[in-house]
Amino acid sequence: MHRTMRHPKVDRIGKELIAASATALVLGILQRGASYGYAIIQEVRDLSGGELEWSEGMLYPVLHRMEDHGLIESYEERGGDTGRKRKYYRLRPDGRRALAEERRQWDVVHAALTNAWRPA
Amino acid sequence: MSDDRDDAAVAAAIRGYREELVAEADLARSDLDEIEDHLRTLTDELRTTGMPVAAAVTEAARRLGDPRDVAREHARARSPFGAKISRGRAWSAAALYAPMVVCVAIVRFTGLGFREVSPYIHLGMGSVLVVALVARLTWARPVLFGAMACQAVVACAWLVGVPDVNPLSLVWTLGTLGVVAFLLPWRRGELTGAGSSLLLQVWSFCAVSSLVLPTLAIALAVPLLVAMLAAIVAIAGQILRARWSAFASAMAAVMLTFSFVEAWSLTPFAPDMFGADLWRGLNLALLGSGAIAAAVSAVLSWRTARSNLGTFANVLR
Repeated sequence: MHRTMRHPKVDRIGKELIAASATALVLGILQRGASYGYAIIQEVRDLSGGELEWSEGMLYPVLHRMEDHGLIESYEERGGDTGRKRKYYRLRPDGRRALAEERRQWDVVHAALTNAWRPA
Repeated sequence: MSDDRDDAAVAAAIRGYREELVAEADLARSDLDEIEDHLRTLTDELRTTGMPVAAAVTEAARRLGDPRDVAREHARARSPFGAKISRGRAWSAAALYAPMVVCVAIVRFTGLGFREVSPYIHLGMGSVLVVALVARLTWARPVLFGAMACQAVVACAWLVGVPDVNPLSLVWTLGTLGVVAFLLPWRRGELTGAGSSLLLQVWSFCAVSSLVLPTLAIALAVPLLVAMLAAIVAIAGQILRARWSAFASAMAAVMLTFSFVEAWSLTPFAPDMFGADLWRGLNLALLGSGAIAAAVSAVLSWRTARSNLGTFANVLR
């Protein structure tokens, strides 16, 4: 069913850029408090004004890799509205350090691009 | 009544998606539950906008992504040394390898006697590998693949070098090649960087331990012994994903490079039935490939380490 429903979609932002920014975005969102996969996707969409369209199923491998790297940790809790058990993620101390480093690097990239694109 | 039908349709679609995930990769139950929760939440939200249930489920599945891609990506993220090998391939390799372990143990017990330690070590290591392979622990595949690939090279050289082929040697070689074929990473990305590093470390260990006595091993006893011990330490460290594994690999690389340079000027004493040039070539090839494998694995090991001391978390995954 799902295979036949796939249709070509033009990404607003390139896949490579989305992949490169995924860790920084997740760390930034979890810095505000624990969250779960679906809510993180929604938050990314809101933060980017709908420009960043993640392939939603690919978020979880990213979260698992970050957990494997010790940046975040997960715990299960029953969701308030549905009553279903849900896996939440929260930042670990290594994650806070990684976030600081990500911010520094993205600031460098941002500053370089701003300078490069300034009219001569 | 209509709500019940809608719920049943949602449940069936989600079950279908879940089955496609499982068909592609061996995902943990908690991972499947997490994806299912996402699918349900997204479907519920789309339905609140007035979308018909069938369209909501289809759209939710589309946004989640092709289950085959999602499953493959999950498998890669969850397996520290590479994608889990299928049950059929793992058990076939174990079924071929287990009798080989027993045969070698019998031959060694017969030749060395029950007071010697070596047959027990071989039997113990072989048994652990068989159990790990049957349980499909992810480190078992690169370890056994590295070992058997090296053995296969030696066995093939033996077949080429010895004019009168012993039928048992032929059976042994075919068995080794069979295990290699079952464990070979046919698709790109089946092994992670950590898995490739582990494979190379095992290759360098087997290359040293395959160097056939007495010529090279006596002349270069100390560096080869240090290289062998360093490779053992490197393998243990790599399974723990520890940073010190990289140092042990680097030590093995240095010792093997030194041995290779020294061995270049040596003329190994070949067995009667073996051609001298082929014998020398085999020894140099083992030393050279072992040195390169150890050097590459040192870099990979450093880059894929998870901590300085390592963790047991990956041993049973």
